[in-house]
Amino acid sequence: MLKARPRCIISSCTVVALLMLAANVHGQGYKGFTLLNPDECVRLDKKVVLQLPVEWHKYGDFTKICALTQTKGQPAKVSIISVWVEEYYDTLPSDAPWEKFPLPLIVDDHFQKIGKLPEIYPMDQPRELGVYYGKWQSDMPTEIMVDVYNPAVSGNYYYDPLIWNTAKGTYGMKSEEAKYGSRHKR
Amino acid sequence: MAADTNDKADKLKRACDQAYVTYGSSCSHAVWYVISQYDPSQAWLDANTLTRNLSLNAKWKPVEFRELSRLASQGVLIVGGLGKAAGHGHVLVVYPGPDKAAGGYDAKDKAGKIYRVRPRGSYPRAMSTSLDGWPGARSYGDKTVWDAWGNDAEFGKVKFWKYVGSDGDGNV
Repeated sequence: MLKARPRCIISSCTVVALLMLAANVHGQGYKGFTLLNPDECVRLDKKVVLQLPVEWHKYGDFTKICALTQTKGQPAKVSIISVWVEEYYDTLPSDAPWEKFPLPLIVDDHFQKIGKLPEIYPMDQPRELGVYYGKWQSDMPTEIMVDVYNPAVSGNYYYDPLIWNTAKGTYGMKSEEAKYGSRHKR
Repeated sequence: MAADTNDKADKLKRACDQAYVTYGSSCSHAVWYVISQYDPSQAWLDANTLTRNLSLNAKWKPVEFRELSRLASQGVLIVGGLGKAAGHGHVLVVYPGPDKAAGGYDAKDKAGKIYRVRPRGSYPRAMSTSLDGWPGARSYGDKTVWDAWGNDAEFGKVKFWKYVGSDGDGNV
């Protein structure tokens, strides 16, 4: 009996620790939401880039697509397309000026625009975006949240969530104004 | 006249350089130091309070962005700033000299990787200090008034005031 008891305690602790770890990995603080990992985004086929508005064409070699899926490997109904600006600048001289890059698109599985992000993902110098997605319905995230790491003097901020509007078939924000500080944890 | 302008610009430059060295980690103290060279009665105020105070103080008048470099180069003291509802705002002094491109310096991303902040636009120079590590907020005329905020939307909210003093022309 005495020997069995510690094993039981260790086992409970392990389960609790694993559950906490899983919550962190998937939510990063937002229960039921997944943090988009830029390393999992892949280069967008150039043929598809050419179907995008003309301002994208110049950045074809640096445009990636990120699938928003509930399970890894599952076909995505919603994706984000963005220019990897830092990779673009890696190919240019150090004094190459900042350009007016197109904002990231949220697209459906036919690459039709169904929304946009308010800033460039994953980095819009000097800011870095954390994109969280969740509230799944019919394999679609119905809410996308954008948190911004901002090292400049105004500090971090976030935006109103992008909410899926079934009637319009688009994602939209209540207000596009940045909100300084941290978003309420859910 | 030209000599007088040069003297005034030199005074402003010297005050900015000294403030940068003495108060390298506090924007409000650095700006206060420069103001105190023109108005010794000015008490230290934090950035949020100072930006509110300058809007209401008869010794200070709002100034248009397009006038900043010309006036600062004539030795007119100009303070820029943006308060923050929750947290610390930021204040700086317009540094004498011609406009320059923002960016053009290195910074570290969240993961610690160094990247070049790309040059953009043309802005007045700044004297700015900060406790935080953002290099755009540390300037002795080598960076611009844009760099501390590093963001067009946010910089668009920044206000500037010129010191006109009690006699209305900035003389002390």
